[in-house]
Amino acid sequence: MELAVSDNDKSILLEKKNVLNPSVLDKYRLAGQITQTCLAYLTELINDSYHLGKHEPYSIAELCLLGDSHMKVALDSAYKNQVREKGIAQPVTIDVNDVVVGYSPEVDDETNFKFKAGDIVTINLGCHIDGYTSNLSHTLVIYPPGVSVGPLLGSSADAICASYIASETVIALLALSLTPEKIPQSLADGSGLIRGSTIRQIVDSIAESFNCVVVPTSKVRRIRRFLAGQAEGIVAERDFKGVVWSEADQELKLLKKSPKYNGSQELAKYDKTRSARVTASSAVPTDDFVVSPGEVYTVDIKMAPLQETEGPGLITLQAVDNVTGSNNSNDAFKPRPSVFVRDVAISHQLKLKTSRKLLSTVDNKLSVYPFKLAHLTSGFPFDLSGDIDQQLRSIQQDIKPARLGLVELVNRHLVVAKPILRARFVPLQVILNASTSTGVNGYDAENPVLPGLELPLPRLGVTSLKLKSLLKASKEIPVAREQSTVVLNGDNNELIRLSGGLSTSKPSWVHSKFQLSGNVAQSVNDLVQLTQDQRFGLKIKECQPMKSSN
Amino acid sequence: MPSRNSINKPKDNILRRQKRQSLGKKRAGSRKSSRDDAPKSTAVALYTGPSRSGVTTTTLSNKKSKKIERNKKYAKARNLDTDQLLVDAQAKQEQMEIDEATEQAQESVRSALWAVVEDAASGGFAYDVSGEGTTLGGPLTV
Repeated sequence: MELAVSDNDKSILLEKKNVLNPSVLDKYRLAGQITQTCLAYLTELINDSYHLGKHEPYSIAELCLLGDSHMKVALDSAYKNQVREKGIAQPVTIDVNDVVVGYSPEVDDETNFKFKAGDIVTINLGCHIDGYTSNLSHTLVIYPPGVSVGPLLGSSADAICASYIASETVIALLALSLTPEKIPQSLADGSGLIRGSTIRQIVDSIAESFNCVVVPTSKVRRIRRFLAGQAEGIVAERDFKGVVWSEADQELKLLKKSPKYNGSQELAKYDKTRSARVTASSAVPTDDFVVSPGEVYTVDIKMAPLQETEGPGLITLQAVDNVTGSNNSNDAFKPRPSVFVRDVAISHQLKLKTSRKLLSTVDNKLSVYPFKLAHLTSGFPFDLSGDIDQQLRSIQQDIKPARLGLVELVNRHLVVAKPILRARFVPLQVILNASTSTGVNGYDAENPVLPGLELPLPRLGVTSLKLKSLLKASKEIPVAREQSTVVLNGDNNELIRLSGGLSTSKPSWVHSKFQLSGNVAQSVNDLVQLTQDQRFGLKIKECQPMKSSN
Repeated sequence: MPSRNSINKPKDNILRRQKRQSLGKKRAGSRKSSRDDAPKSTAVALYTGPSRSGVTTTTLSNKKSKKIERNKKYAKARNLDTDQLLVDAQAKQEQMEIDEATEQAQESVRSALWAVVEDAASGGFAYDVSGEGTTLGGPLTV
């Protein structure tokens, strides 16, 4: 379904409101500051409880709620009565080890747990003011309690190194697009432009030197007002601009390693737009775009290490919920989906009174961004200085009636559950031995992806449904993730880093036995030098977290 | 509702209703046409291909121009429908056909990937771990 919007409104909403004037920049900056502050708060909570033993460790559900409350309190005091919409753009999700996105249990979820030493933990959150969004993810390491004795070693450390270095490098590349005259020799292709293909190439080479794979759903994409990728797969966004990694790229990479490949285009060719189920071809992501000043990007890089895997294979994602596979799998991790997003294109007359009430609350109080049921309860946000345990219990009571209504909303597709995804390694021979009986048109309607990426292995003709059935033979694999939002301010040629950076997202102490080598080492070195050079280098500014009030 | 020819016909009501309806239709029609932004054909010189003299004296009557417009509307609807239908039918057929070329391509991809599996089994990929490695971050400071 396409929404009919008049040309006049379209130009206001998509163009005029996205021009980076001072007031828009202020909104972006404040959103960035709030995310930075929330990350600092959560990191402190985790450090205090798990590492320094100052108080009893919080469970994941509690940390998520505390983070959300912290963001909400900060947002409530910002731009009072000046903007129509502001709020949480991404509820705090805390993804441990092989969980990639979306794990944010409610307080009564049975899977809720506490961290162990050696876990790698990704905190992911975001907020928006008037639709100007700042998202953020950062991976931390949980060390044994007490003074840390040494860095984390092993495959998880490889992934953390790769994701951190790749995301910093991409941010420096984006900054280069503002001052093309500073593009170093090692990166110059003669055009003086930063293209999507440049970004993909450098991230892929960094991944390769750390023996990692860029996990599907990683992306470096342009965001606009209210279009920050919160409903990818549900709403097809025209003029999509960004590099998106998918299983198809891993397939191509494996194919290029084959002795039978010999550089022929015949094997590798594939037209994404053919399988896309959208009318506007601009919704299909491609790499041939140019990064230009005045745009805002999120850099979201997820890396999975190949150290503990055997032979070639594919890193793919498995959606987990409390229902699927409950009869035949011994998997204990069955979280209930807890983050939802409203599909505004759908309307339906609901039967239950509670669901009607819930829908009207969702439509009136929330925006187009994802939400959790806890956000709709009367006890939210918490009084962070009060008795937290008691407030948690009262929220648990409040959620129950809302959950009853939610079932009908989900069944009628008025709201869509955001999937909880885990990374899985499927050996290549398992995939090659499988036959594709569904044909290339069988796609997974439950887990929507960006248009054009419906077929995970297009050249081999393996559909997402087939791949899902092969996950039985797969192996879990940890994932590290770094995400930040950056504004390319063309007026004074500076990159404003809304989230991430050294002030809040310092990498944890890790050591990988791999290092950058060859051409990519030279390019990354040049970029690092440019970012450190105060006078002639790249101008990168970081949003700092706010001073704590309590 | 009694018919027009029944004995006890509420004559006035029927007539009034009919008149109201026809007037309403007229009004709606005129409103619609005034809102239409598309350029209309008017009683100006008819274009009959590149003329040699450069001047023509043929004009369109109002009635004729209305008729042309009406027919254009019908023609447009007709053309649009058939075009769309053709496209749909073709797409359907394309989806249903089992493309032999695609199958062959998939087979060759499959065999190329099998080669990768066999390569790996004989110790294919080795990574360079000769250097000192990479260290990020440092111990936790409070």
